[in-house]
Amino acid sequence: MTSSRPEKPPTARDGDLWDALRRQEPEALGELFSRYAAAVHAYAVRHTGSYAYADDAVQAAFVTAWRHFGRSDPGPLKYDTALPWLLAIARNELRNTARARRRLTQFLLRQPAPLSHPDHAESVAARVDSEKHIQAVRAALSALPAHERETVELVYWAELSIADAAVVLGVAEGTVKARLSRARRRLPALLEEHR
Amino acid sequence: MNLTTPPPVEPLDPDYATDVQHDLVRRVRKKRRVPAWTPVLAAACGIAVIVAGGVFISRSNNEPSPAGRPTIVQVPAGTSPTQSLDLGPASGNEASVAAVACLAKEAAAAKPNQYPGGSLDPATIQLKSARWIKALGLPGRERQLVQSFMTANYVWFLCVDGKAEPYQGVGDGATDDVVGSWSWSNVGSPSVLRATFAFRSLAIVTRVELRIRGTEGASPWSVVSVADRGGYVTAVLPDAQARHGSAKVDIRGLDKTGKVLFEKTVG
Repeated sequence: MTSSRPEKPPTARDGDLWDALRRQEPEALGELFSRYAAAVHAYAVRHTGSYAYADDAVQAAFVTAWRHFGRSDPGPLKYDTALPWLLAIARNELRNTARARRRLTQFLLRQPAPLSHPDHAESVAARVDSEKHIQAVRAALSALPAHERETVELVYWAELSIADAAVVLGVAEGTVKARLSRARRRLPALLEEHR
Repeated sequence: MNLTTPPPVEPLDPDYATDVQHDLVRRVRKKRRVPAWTPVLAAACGIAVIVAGGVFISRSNNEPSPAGRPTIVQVPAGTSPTQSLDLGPASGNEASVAAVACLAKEAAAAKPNQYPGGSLDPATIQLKSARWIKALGLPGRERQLVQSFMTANYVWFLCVDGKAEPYQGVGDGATDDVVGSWSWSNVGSPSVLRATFAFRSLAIVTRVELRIRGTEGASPWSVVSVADRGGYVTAVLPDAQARHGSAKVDIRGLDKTGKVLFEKTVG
């Protein structure tokens, strides 16, 4: 007779996690974070071209997510995964704080002396290189209309399905497909311009 | 460069992610934690409220309590009447003239380098909102102009009657849906207590309300609609109802369904 043990303890489905969040269990927020912080962070970095802003956005998104459950019961999770819902929150956070970020930048620029000194640690250098690359890619993508750009970010960069991207954007799946189709038609020219 | 390939992203530092995760859980747990002594305190408060209510009812002329501190009336939020201060949008010309005047006053009072270059240039004004509200406690005045506008470098101004109001921003890390600065003063003759609140709010907040509670009564809720995620609300209470200068100011923010998202008492 043989027996086997699972390699890892079974993890809760997102639906179970969602129900725990509805019951306002703090540990569920920690689990949600451990599952999706990396995905939200990557989305925010690619969306802003800045690791610093992305770090802030990740925290804000999860705090806002918790507050959603505190305000009212959203009902059962409607999808297989909570990621599209989280990315929708992150997207709103990034939009809402864009002005605050710009004002903070202006504030820092007005200071007589730099508030921080450059850090030449390898990890920081890697982030700086990555930011430069992302900003170059975003510059190329910027010729697309905002709604097509966002669709490309979600489907190609965040690797969401058409259905999940539609949830984040709050539009029909057909709209997402149409936007991608239009963006694809324009992308070859964009690639040429920024080569 | 292939735009359909995700640009590589440096992964979240595991130590940092763990710290953030623990901090998040700690913060939300702290918010909902109910101390063991809460039932005892609640019972004591219940007794205190009953006693205070008895004292309040038995006082024939609402003299100060034996301790010398007057009691501020408790009026359930839902029982106070409401009065809208909104009088509708101002014309573009009215808004432009007031915005230029507001910016000029701000420029005259600004410290060197307080604003980035060009931000005080009236040519850069972009009007965002301009609404009239009822003037409360301002003798000879029927309405006040509340407006917001942006200038160069995304500097945002909230002005009331051509004077900039201080405000805080809401966004990353904000714990409240509405933030702002409040003030009160005695104005007019006969004197009334006038409270004001200039605010910014999250997009979900559609109206903000304010009332004053004194020793002898409470004002209605003054209600203003939120425009451009900001606004200004005032209320007045006759001095006779706020004897000995004692009063509290209640502020709350509501969403479009009337659900209270934010409430705070100051004073």
